Amino acid sequence: MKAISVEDVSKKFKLSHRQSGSLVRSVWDLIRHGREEFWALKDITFDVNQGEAFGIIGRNGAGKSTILKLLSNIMQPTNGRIRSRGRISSLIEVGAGFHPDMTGRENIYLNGSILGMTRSEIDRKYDEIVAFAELEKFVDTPVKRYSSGMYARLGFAVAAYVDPEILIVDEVLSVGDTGFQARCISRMNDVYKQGSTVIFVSHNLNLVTRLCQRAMLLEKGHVAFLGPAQSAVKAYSKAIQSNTGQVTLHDTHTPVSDSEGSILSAYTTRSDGSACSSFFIGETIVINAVVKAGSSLRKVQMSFIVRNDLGTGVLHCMSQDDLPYLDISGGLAKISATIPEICLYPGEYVLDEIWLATSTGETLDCTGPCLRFTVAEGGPFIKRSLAKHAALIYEPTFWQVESQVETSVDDNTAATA
Amino acid sequence: MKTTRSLTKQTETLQADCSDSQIDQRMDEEEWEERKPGPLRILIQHHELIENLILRDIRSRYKQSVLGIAWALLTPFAMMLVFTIVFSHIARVNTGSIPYPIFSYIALLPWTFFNQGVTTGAESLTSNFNLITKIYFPREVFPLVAVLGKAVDLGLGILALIPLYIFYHIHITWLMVIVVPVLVMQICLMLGIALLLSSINVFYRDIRHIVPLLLQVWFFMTPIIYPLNMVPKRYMGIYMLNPMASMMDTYRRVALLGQSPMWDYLGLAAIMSIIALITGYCVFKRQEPAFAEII
Repeated sequence: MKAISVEDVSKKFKLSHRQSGSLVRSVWDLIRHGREEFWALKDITFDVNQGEAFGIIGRNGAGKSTILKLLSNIMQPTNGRIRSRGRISSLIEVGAGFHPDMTGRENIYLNGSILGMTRSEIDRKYDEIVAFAELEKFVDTPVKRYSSGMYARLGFAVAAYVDPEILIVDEVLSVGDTGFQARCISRMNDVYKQGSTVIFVSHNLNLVTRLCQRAMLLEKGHVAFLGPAQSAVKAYSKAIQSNTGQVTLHDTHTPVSDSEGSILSAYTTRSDGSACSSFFIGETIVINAVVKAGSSLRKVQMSFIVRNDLGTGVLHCMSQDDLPYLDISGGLAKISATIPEICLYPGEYVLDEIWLATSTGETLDCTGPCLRFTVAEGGPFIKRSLAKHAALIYEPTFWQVESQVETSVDDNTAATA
Repeated sequence: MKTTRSLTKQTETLQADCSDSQIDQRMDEEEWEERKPGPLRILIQHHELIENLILRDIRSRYKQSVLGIAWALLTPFAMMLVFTIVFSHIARVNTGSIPYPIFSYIALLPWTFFNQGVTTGAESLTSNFNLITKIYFPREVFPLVAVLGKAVDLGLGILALIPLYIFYHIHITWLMVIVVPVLVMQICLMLGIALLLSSINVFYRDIRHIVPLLLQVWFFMTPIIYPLNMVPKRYMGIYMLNPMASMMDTYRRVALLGQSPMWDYLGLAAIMSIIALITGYCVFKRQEPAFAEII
């Protein structure tokens, strides 16, 4: 039986050049510029079966968030229709609707009813929710005194216990520490095992293959692939892998206003500046990004993530680790990040989430997974052969032996254990 | 209105589907859930949510303030005091047998309710934008909560009437029961205005500036600080088009004077309140799909 049916759904957004908000100005805008139209989704058709875990993957801006908002009824499609069966709960942003002045307990009841639970249901699950969030001691503290981690944990805990027939999850698993993340995933698995339908949107391809049977790959608002999760992930990796050496993200003519900036292209080079997309372990990799900045923009920062072919992030590099800010003075600039000795195991890697921001941390531009490079086995630095997926990181180690050591090794380990 | 139209459209396609497909497929089609429930189903389905949001509204309003919920009484009391000084000592207003303080308080109470309900109602969507863009539940809950949340303050204000009644020796009569249906009328009117203004406010924030001005004018066009009989006879026809005018007059007649209301004007006000509610609701529902995108 189908839990959700999406038929020929399209979603159009109207982009006005200036944010409207006043009557006079919006009429003026309409006369002068007209409205630019943008199709975030075009003719999307898919079904999700009852009790299925269904993944949605794709680059940033492919329309994943839009489809989630349509599924959870927050927005209405421009064309086509969506039908669903059963209570839908969406974890698009946890903790929305918390009131800072109210205590944890009061917020559990408030947020629970916002998410569609009845009071008796919350009464029944209250202890579980508090235990899941690990906030037993703080339930009577106003949530404004919570740390951001506590806040997110409480939000997720309430949402996780809604017991929906359809659960929609969007990348919220990035909250909390790793222990909490693991619990979130196992909770999602439980919900799924109880027979609920789960729709899961993530950049983490590894998780998508682990949790979902089927997945849909979105590309620029179209369905690029629909089928078994593993094939969808492969199709996605392939699509990214076609971008080796250099990738163009925006046209040079992309207009930027005074205070804006955007990443135009990215490419990898050797230390001498020659273009290259395949490196040996221990070699120098230079990651370059060409950015276009508005006239009033000077101080920026940049970061990027390197993921392996399973989607796991293996490096997260930030300019602020090295320099307080990068000085780009208007127009075009090239920002380079040098990794002196790449220590990753042989394999395919993807550069993801190249993030350009002001020195105070306001996002100017953020890409999706965009550029592939290979770390190859061999080379001048490594003598032995390294098995793929045996480990993630190669670190040079230095070994020595001291002969005739008196104390027994067994005693030492026993003491430390 | 839109909802019913799309519903009939759906049933039409449903019937078309049924004629040339097997029975089990029809069963499948019929079980789809209605994604846009009607107004009454919303009230029933979401009554706990509405209660909780009203609680949130009240708690947040009075938390971390020393006087807390007492503020609900202090506002109309302070206004009563000011108007009493001005209109019974400086510019004399003839209120007949009724002392000015209770004469004004009996109207200031429902007016404060109207004023605050409409003001917060108009802002109710924009101030809850974080919920609107992230979670779905019927959006009309927000203006409804804004209006009903202020009714709690009104209830407290009514309790404060008891000592005033004793102090001024006001007779209790059965006519006072009429206050209840008139209050329901007033809530309908407020809700209609709140639905209308809040949905326009999503698109044009000009509403924020218009509302206080509108309420100021409305205040003086309503017999709150002066009795209805001070209004010249020749203007009465136009004056009584204001539904709040006959409601205020009714409150005063039934709760203070022990007179029955002017039924013809009250009937007119009732019709206008219902028209306001229906208009507000229809405009709101028409604009609703765009809220999450524009806000």
